[in-house]
Amino acid sequence: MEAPNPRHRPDSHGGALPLPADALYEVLLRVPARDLCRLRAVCRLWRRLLSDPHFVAVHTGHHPEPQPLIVIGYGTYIRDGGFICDVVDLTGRVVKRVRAPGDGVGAEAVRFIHLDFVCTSKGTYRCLRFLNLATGSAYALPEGLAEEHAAYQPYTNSWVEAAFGQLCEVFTLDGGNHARWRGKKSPPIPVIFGCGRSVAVIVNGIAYFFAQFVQPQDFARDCIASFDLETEEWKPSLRGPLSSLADAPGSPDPDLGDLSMAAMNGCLVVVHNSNNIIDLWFLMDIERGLWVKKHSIPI
Amino acid sequence: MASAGSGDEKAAAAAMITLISSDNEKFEVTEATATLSQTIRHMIEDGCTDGGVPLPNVTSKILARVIEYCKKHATAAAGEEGSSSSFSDAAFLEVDRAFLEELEEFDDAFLEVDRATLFDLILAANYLDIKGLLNLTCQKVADSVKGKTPEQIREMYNIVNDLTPEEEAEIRRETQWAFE
Repeated sequence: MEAPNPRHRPDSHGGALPLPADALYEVLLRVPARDLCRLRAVCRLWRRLLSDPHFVAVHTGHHPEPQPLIVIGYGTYIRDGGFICDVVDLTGRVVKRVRAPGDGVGAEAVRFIHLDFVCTSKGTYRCLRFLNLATGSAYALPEGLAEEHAAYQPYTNSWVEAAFGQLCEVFTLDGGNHARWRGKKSPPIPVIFGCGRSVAVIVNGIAYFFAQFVQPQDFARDCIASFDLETEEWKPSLRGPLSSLADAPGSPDPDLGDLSMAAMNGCLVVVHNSNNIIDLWFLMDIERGLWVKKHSIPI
Repeated sequence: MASAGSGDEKAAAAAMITLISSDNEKFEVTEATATLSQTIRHMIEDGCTDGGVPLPNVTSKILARVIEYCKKHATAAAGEEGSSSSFSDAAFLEVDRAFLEELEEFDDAFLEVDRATLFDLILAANYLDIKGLLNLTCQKVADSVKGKTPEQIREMYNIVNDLTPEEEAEIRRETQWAFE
């Protein structure tokens, strides 16, 4: 070690860098966030400084242009049936990895992602778990039907049941020990619950689901059911952008192609992939069912 | 007050500032060099630099290095200002690029100091409020911290771990991903 400068010999401040706190502050502002998360474990002074919301805010200002992050979930089928979620930046670097070990019985699959939460299910859809990407904690929802739906038990085949009349239940995550599934009215049209690309999307407190394509003449495939999470009631179903378009006189039947939903800039967006073009339809006015095609991306 | 007959002398001296280190050494610098320091700029604006600027927190050894940095960068700043209108062709851009490269080389060489000097430079840059120097020196330390484990940091900088094993385990649990 080189000779320390006697003027700055650490003594009273718990042996931090031989720098006063404000100089240390300046140095740590220039260290990337990923390193800082780890360096909270250096000593108390560092932990205090790095946990300070003011420091975090200034640090964010020093490292602008946050890149979008992508969550990738994959099952660890061979090991324990659990799964791993990687938060990846656009360069493909894994920024954060969260593991949710399984119990070795059946394999879990990621159903949807909302805010910091990844929702997974196993076997039937009733075996749900929430994984908090921020803390890494997992929370399993109780299995079995709500009291209101006791008459339906035991259900034998959820798919058949879904086709002939769906049960709708809600669960409030921070409802404490008394939290339970609560039965609600069935959706006005049969809907697709989190599956493949047709996962539910939540925008401004409303959850949107695509209608099930049961009878072609009954429902347009881009018809969307919406459930208000505040009032816990189904709202009138929406016509999707493509079937709305087909209303215009003389227009051909729309090529429905490949449909999915997303939330962007506080809007529900229907993503329509057809003939090597991806159209992004934004729902501008939910009451009037007004859709605007804002982007058209050739692929 | 200046005595009669010293008008010329005063005009010449007006652009010079005297900085006095903690060990009482005097450094004469141009105002352009001195005003890279926001602290000194404010003192000049307030008209309290007559008789020199005492810098009780900065030794002569460190002050000499700080002035070396400011001189180089003051020239750079002057060059930028003077060039804005008269030159705008590719030849000028070439000169400009060469000058920036030279400045970068200067900065790299400037940072070739031992750790104690580097820390003293940070303290001086912080005290004198010299943005460029603070950024340069802090970035050097920040780069040395990147990719290191908490243990390596403690060893590098003689930091005593005053966290309890429980506290440390909790931090590691919360940010397990950052340790992988």
